[in-house]
Amino acid sequence: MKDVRIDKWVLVLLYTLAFFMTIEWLKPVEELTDTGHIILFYGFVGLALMFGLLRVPGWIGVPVKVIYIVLSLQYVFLEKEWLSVEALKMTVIDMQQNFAFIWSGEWMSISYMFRTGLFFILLWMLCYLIRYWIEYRKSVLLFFGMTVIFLSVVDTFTPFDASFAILRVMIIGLLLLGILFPLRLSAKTKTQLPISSYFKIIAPLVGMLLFVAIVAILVPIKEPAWPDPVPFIRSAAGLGDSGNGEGVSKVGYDPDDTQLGGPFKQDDSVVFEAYVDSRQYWKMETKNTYTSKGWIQSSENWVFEYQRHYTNLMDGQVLVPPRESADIEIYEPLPIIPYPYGTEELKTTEGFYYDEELDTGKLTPNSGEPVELKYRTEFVPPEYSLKELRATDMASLDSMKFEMDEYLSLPEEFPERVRDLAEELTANAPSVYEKAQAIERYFARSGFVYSRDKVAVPEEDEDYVDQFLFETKRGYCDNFSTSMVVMLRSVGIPARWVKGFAPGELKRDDNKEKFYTVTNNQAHSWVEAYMPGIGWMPFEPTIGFNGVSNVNFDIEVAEDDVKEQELIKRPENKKKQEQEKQAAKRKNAQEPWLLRIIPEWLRSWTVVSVIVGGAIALVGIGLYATRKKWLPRLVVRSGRSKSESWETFAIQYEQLLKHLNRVGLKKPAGMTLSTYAKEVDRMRGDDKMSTLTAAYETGLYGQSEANLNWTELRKMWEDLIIETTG
Amino acid sequence: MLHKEKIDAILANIERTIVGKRVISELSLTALLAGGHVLLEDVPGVGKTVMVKSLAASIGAEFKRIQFTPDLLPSDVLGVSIYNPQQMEFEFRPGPIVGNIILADEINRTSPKTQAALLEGMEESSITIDGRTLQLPQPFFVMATQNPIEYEGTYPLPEAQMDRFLFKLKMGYPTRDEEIEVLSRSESQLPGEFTAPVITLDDLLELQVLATKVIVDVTVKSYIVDCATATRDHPTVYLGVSPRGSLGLMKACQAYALIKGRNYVTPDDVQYLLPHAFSHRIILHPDAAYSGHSIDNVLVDVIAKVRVPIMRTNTL
Repeated sequence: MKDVRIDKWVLVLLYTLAFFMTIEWLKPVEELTDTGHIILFYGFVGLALMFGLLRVPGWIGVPVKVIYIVLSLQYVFLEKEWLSVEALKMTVIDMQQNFAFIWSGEWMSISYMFRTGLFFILLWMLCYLIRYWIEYRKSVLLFFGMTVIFLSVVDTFTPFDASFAILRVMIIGLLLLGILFPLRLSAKTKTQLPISSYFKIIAPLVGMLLFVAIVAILVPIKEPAWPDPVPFIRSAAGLGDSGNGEGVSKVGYDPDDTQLGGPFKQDDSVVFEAYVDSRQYWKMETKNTYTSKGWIQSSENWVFEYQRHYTNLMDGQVLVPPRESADIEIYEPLPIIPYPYGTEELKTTEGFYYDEELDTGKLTPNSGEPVELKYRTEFVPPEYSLKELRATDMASLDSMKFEMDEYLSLPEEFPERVRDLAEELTANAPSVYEKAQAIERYFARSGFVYSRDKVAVPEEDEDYVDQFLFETKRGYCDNFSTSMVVMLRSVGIPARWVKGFAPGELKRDDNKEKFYTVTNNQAHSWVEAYMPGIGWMPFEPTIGFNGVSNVNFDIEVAEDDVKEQELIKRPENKKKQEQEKQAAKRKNAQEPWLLRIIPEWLRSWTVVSVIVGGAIALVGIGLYATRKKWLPRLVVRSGRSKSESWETFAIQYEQLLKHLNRVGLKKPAGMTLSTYAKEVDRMRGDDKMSTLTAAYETGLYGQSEANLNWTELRKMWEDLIIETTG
Repeated sequence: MLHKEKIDAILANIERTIVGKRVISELSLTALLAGGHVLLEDVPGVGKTVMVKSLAASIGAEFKRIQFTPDLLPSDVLGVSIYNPQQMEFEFRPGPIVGNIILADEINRTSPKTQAALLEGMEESSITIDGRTLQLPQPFFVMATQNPIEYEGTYPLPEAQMDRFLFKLKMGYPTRDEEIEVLSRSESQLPGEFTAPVITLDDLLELQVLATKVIVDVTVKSYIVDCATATRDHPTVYLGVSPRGSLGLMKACQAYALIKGRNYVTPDDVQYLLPHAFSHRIILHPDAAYSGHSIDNVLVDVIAKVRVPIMRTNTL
């Protein structure tokens, strides 16, 4: 069947529209992932579509595209050695490694470069699909629909705002559909329309779309009739109950702590860098009210402006000797400012006002906006005398009960077993400090596990602390710190919950100067307990973190077994790993060579049978789906060897009917053969089918098979089958 | 002269007299060759009589016409025995039914008694009068007409009688051009002028025999039966087609295949003739008729649904 040609200008238009539609897929990728150099992908899509449009033969197109991919990869990932033999070598090595990773099932180890390469190939295939949709199917509804669904999903579930993208896609998609429809029609009826008629057909559509687009932009948008589905979906999936619960939260500073728990995603983007001589906990705020699910700050805040403390660094550098200083540069805007314990002054290079809340310790920029800021804090690290700490007693706390009320409050429905545990832990400790220490150390020695994933969220009737202490025993800083605060309060020691950042990773800059990088992963929470006569003192209950309290050992005591425990743990782990390695080696040694090259995950019979079964099924499906292509040729070939007789002819005619049915010329049950044959011939523009059918009818209904010219009929039959095969 | 040529000659001859109406003349000839009768249902003045007359003239057959009226008696149709005083015996005077081609005009205007007299002759090709059975001349072909508009004072044919007609046909109005042609022809033509016969009655009888020799393959027979069964099983049908209907359809197909110069019947013949042969043999459920179903729809439905046999194996 000969195809009706699509005018080249129409094709250009179609490809351009398809290009813009494809681009809409890449835009969210750019915004939501850390994919840079998105222009290279645009370029690639453009290139692939242009090659398709210009009918560039494969032997040119494929190498050019491969070169494009390789060069792009090198440009992005090996910037310095771009276009060198070295770079090429590295690419090849990278490929080898990654194939090895794939082979051994280590999906997570695959390099970014290789992944990017695969993404290019995906785009390549997509361009082929687009070409197929446009030129052969002449219908892009599937692609269009998928794009719309993709954008709406991205818009609903991610921060990406697709409102204009949807509009663009709607216009492009409807335009594409509108242009392709007359093309499909003319292909079906085999009429070649002049290009001017196409544009006449499309013109009203274009006008209407323009009008709709303008209206869509100008008219105010109504509030959605349905509420945002995301909280609903989450609660339906059992994630969180109050709507505040998060699925997988991103780690980092978040002012909202009403619902604690749930797994965390790692995020190692840098929040701030601090030039400081010693490790410091970066405090940001404290919270006073535990709700059995999380923390809120109740009670009025005392706010006052730290106006007088802002000084210009340019003017003079008068540093008071005992003070330490930390030069902090914030890279990721924070709503409140982190500072070390003992901060006395904040200095910035320009006019900058902020509020201090006295009871929470919050330093909020006056602008109210999260800031990126460079500032210096000057602080005197607090020191505590062990002697004084040992001297603290519970009796002196009684007199402060009223003013410390908010730091002693607990939820009304508070599980008694938490209090029981706290009392049991602190029973033998004489001083307030030792009581607090007993609770601080409890976690490290009682089988608690530090983990950021698989952390439970309390159910409606569950207490966050109770769940952690008695059921899951698995969690991160929030679990440990909240539990400690609650336990301290339950035995009458005022305590509050502190949020901020852990000290960070020690690094040295080009001048060998020490500085700490603090990433979102270092977002942390700890405990402050009130020591009568001394004040608020930080505690660190979380396993794996070392506190910073400077306790002066003015009496001899063996201290800090947290470190010791760490030390003990590590060798154990190592030993275990060693053993496992050796076991694996032994196993390998016993296996024949052939088995050894098969990766571990391929070994089980289920996997093998699934793969083999899948392959057979795929081949089967493939053969079935493409039977239009190969079956007719097979039929024709086998037909040649058969004798020339009515029986053969009857079988072959039936095959022909089935074949025509497969290629889309369906015969309704009530249609007679001759009517059908006329229909087929009308579509094809000759009379072969009618001739064959007349012969067949003579044989079938007329019962006379004698004087038919078998050779001629077979020739016709073969022609018909071959010509109707796509 | 080959039989195909004879048939073409008859059709051409009819066409010389009547403008258009090729389909009706073909169907009428089909019924004639199949030994069946035709019920023409149409308004007056569309050429029914001319049609029959020219058919009769073309085959050199005796043409008789009976105009049915409410007071017509069976003897007016069949004939009557009259006492001949000279020979001292009753002498049979045959009625108009004794002929080859009879036009029974407005058959529903006469009493059922008289209708029955005609219909017996149609079915048996013989009449019984005064205890004597008289064989009717061959060929014997009745073309009855019925006016569908005027129902006042009529005796509609009972279903059993309808079943005796092979076809029920509708003449229909001529097209504009055809009607102009009708006027042009009549302009210079004297009334009652008919063409000369192109074949003899013997030829026609021979053709009738030939028609019975046309092959009906078992696949086609089963197709006919399937169609008849489908009318009986159709949800909107109260009374379906009788086996006499299937038989008639097959006979008609044979004759039609002969007219088309084939010696075998194809499902196309069946599909073509089925509405003409079946439409007067079906009664719809009253509900179905009220809700807009028509017999024509039912037949279209039957043709579309019944599987056409296209292989030898799947019918045996």
